[in-house]
Amino acid sequence: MNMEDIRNQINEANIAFETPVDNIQKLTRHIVNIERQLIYGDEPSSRRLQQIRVLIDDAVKELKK
Amino acid sequence: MKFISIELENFRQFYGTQKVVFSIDPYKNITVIHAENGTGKTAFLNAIMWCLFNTTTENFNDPKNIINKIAKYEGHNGYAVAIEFISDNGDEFLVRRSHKLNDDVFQVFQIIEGDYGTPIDKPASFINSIIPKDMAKYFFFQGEGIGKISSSNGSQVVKQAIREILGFTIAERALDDVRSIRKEYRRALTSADKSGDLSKKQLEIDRLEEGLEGYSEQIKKFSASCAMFEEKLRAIDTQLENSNSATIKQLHLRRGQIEQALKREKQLQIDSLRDKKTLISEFAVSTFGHSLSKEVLDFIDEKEYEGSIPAPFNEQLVHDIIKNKSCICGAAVHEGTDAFKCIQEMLKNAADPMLENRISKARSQLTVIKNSLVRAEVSFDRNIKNQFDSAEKIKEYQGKLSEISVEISGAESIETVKNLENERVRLKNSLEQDRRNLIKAELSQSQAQPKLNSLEAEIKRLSSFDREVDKYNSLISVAESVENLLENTIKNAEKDIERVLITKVNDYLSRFVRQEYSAKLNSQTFSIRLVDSNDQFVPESDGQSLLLNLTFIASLIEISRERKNASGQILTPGAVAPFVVDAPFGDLDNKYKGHVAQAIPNSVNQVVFLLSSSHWEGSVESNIRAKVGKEYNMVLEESAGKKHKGADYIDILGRKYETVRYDCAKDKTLIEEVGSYV
Repeated sequence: MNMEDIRNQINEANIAFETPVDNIQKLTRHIVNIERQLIYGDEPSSRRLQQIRVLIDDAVKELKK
Repeated sequence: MKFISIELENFRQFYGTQKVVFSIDPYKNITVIHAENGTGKTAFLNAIMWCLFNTTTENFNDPKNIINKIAKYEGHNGYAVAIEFISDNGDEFLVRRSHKLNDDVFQVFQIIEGDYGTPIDKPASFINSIIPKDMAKYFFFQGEGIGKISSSNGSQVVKQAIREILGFTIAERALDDVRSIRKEYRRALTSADKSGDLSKKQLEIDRLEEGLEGYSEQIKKFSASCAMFEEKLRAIDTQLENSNSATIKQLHLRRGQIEQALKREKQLQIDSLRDKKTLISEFAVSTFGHSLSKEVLDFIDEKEYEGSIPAPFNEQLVHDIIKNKSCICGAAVHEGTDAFKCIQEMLKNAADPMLENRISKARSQLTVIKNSLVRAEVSFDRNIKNQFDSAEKIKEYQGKLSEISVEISGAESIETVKNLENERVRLKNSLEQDRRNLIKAELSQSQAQPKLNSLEAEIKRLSSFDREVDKYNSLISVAESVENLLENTIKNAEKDIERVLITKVNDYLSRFVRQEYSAKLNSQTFSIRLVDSNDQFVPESDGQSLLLNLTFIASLIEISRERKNASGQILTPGAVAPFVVDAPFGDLDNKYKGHVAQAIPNSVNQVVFLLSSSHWEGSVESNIRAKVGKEYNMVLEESAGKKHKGADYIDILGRKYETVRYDCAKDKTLIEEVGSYV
């Protein structure tokens, strides 16, 4: 195993670490993104709760499949 | 991110269009802008904040009225700021915010070979991805604006700064929203319940949750107040220890010893109470079963005396002989014979060996019970004596402490000591009170949580029978999982941050402060104080407080840089940005100024110092000159005549530069280049 192999393995481990491991993690990231758009971004705040409700609803449907 | 240039158009003092080009040289990374008070340092810093985030610092007066007065008088109705910057991967951008009448226009362009393309979509998101606005205030820093981190409200400043620099703002907002949505689901769930059972349980849950939130708040509040009282007491103790009066010193020393003894005795008392509980569980059976064990043992002893226990013959053996009509010696035992009758007679004294075994075991257990009562008596006697001794000693120490307190506060000639002592007594009482409150809240919390868990489990069980109810249950469950993930992410990120932060602050301090001082962060109150080598608080001078502030900010910037590539996608990553600092060296003496000025450019990529002559003069120039890439001077042009006012100059590289000009056409500030050294 050379240095390049080790580097690749570390990169892969990093990617795996950052990849959502389950639906809850994915859902949480989506919710955080909605908030991010509101606080840092250009989206209006009025629809954020509705958007989060839809995301949670979809997640439940996904889990029940 | 590095700033390339800034262009101001009719922004406050800056009439017309004025431009500053910053040094982006990696070594000569400092841009110095000289400006006397009232010339426009704060306005310049705010131009950056306004352009990037449409916000201003707290000390920026009248933020709704930004347009330059002369320009307005001449009929202009707009103002603008444009910043060119280079991102970490080398791309160049122009960000421009303008205000005309009631319209704000905010645009960001990528600069490709000198040309601006089409505006970038969602410019605010883009800028915040480069430097989040809640972190920006630590990079674009108002030297005198942050307040003392060691002051009474310093803990809030430190706490907020840590949360912002760790990128919690968004995650905490998400947590609040998901919590409120989960509560909505809970209400919907109870409405969907036809039987009404769920509503009742939900009401209890609401009440418990409300109570738990309250307890949690109380625990936070009382923990912080206890830590604050302890800190204040330590400060008073330090003052009393250093009192000029030998008597006071002596009394205070004695008090310290008694307080230590009292503390030990209180701990012994707690240990005795704990021992008492252990003794009760250990000896309860022998104590309460003593009479019974005695009676049963007497019975067994009597039977032994009578010879029935242990039995002389094995019941099973006698039965086998009778059944098989054969003795163990091989002789035949026929029914009706004398031998048969004799053996049959033996049954009267025969017993089951298993039963015998049980009786033997019972006897040994009962003997243990009987004997352990002797040990129980000895142990309980000792425990009661210990408790009594501790209570007596505690009373004695408390009496002595009251006497010392009276002696100290009675020291007639020393008014300060009297006041300190009175304050000490008041703080001690408050501390005791809040400690009791804290224990009470912790107890209530520990009792409420299991009740809540069981009610939630009960609701889950009841709701599994109804489809509609089940739907809401699933929604609640998912919302709870999201809450848990957010909470855990925040908790994990917070772990160790106090240690990391204080290590960095101390690293800076060791380079700046002459004395053997270090900084100490109270993890309960979040206040940062200087302590000496004996761990005693140091009363800080204004200069030392400012120094602590600067080291704190520098440490935050370092943490932000280290978090730049954090990509958990839940917490906002950190940023690398220019450090633009207005009036950083206010109360610092010459030596500190020099050390700080030298250290800052080594810890950030780009620095813009906005300095008045009082900040600049002394050791600053000699310490940073080699790293200055660009240098400007803000000149105040006044339409009024000079009259009796003296000329104002600043000395830069041996040459005098005007800071004020009189008899000018318009009142304005001009930014003039002094030198470019890159």
